[in-house]
Amino acid sequence: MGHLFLLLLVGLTSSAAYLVGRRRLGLGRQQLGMAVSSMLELVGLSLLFFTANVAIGLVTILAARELTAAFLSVYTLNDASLVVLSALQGLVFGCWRARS
Amino acid sequence: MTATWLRVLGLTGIALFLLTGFTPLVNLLRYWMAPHRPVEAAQAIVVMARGGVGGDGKLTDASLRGVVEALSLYRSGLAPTLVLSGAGGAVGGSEAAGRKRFALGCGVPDTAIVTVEKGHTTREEASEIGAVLRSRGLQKILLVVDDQGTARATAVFERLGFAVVPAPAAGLLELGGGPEDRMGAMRLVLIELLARMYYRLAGYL
Repeated sequence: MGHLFLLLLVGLTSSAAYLVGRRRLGLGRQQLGMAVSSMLELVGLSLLFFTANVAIGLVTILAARELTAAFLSVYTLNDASLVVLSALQGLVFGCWRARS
Repeated sequence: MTATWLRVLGLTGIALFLLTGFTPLVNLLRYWMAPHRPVEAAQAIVVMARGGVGGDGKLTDASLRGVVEALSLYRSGLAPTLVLSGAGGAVGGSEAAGRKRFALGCGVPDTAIVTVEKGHTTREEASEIGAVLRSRGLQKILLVVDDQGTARATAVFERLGFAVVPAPAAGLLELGGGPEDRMGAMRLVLIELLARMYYRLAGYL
C-alpha cells in the first residue's frame, strides 16, 4: 500500500509540474517528448557508467587478490554511492555530448 | 544510432527499476534461488560468515541474525554442535569469536561450540570449515547462510563431500516489502548471480 502512495505522490507532483509548465511557463507539448527522450539517454549513459564501474571494479579486486596477499571484498562494490556517482558521470557526459 | 541505443538502455533500466521496486519480482527470484529441502537432524550446525564485525567491534545485525537462526536450530535439538565462522575485523576480535560469546551468553555450553576464523570467500570458508569437520568426524551438516547464497554454499560443501541440509530448508514465498527493501534485495540477488557465474567459470561448482 505504501508503494502505491509513493507512485500517487510522484504522479501528483508530475501533473502539477505539467500544468505549471504549460500554463505559467508556456512550455510546448512536443518539447516534453524530447525531454523524456533526453532523460532516457541520460539514464542509459548512467547505466553504461555503472556497468563499467562494476566490471572494472570486479576485475581489479579479483586481480588484486591473485597478485597480492591483501584481501579485498567484492562487497566493497555493493554501495549505493556507486549508483549515485555513476548517475553523475552519466549526467555530465550526456550534457557535454549535447553541448558539443 | 547511438542515441537510440542509449534510449533503449535507459528505458530498460527504468522498466527494471519499476519492476523491482513496485512488483514482487525480486521476491519470486529469491524464492526460485533458494534450495527447497526438508529440515532434518545433522551432526553439526554450520553458520557461515555474514556481515562480520562493525566499526565498533560488535557483531553486525546480519551476523547476529545468522547466529540466532543457528541457536534456534540448536535448541530444537537438530544438531549437538555449533560451528561458528567469521574472520577477524579491523577492530576488536573476529566475527566467529563474537558469535561464540553471544552463543555462550544464550546458554550453549563451550564444548558444543567450534569457531573457524579463517577464509574470506565462500570457497575458502568451506575449505577451512571442512577441515575442522573432518577432524571431528562430522559429515552431515545443517548450513546457515544468507538466503540468496544458500544454493551456492550448499553446492560448495557438497563438492567437498559433505551431506548438507540447508537452513532455512525451504524459503517461504513472501510477497511483501517496500520499494527500498526490494531494491536492496535485488542488489543482493544480482551479486549472488554474478558470484554463481564466477564460481561456475572458475570450476568451483
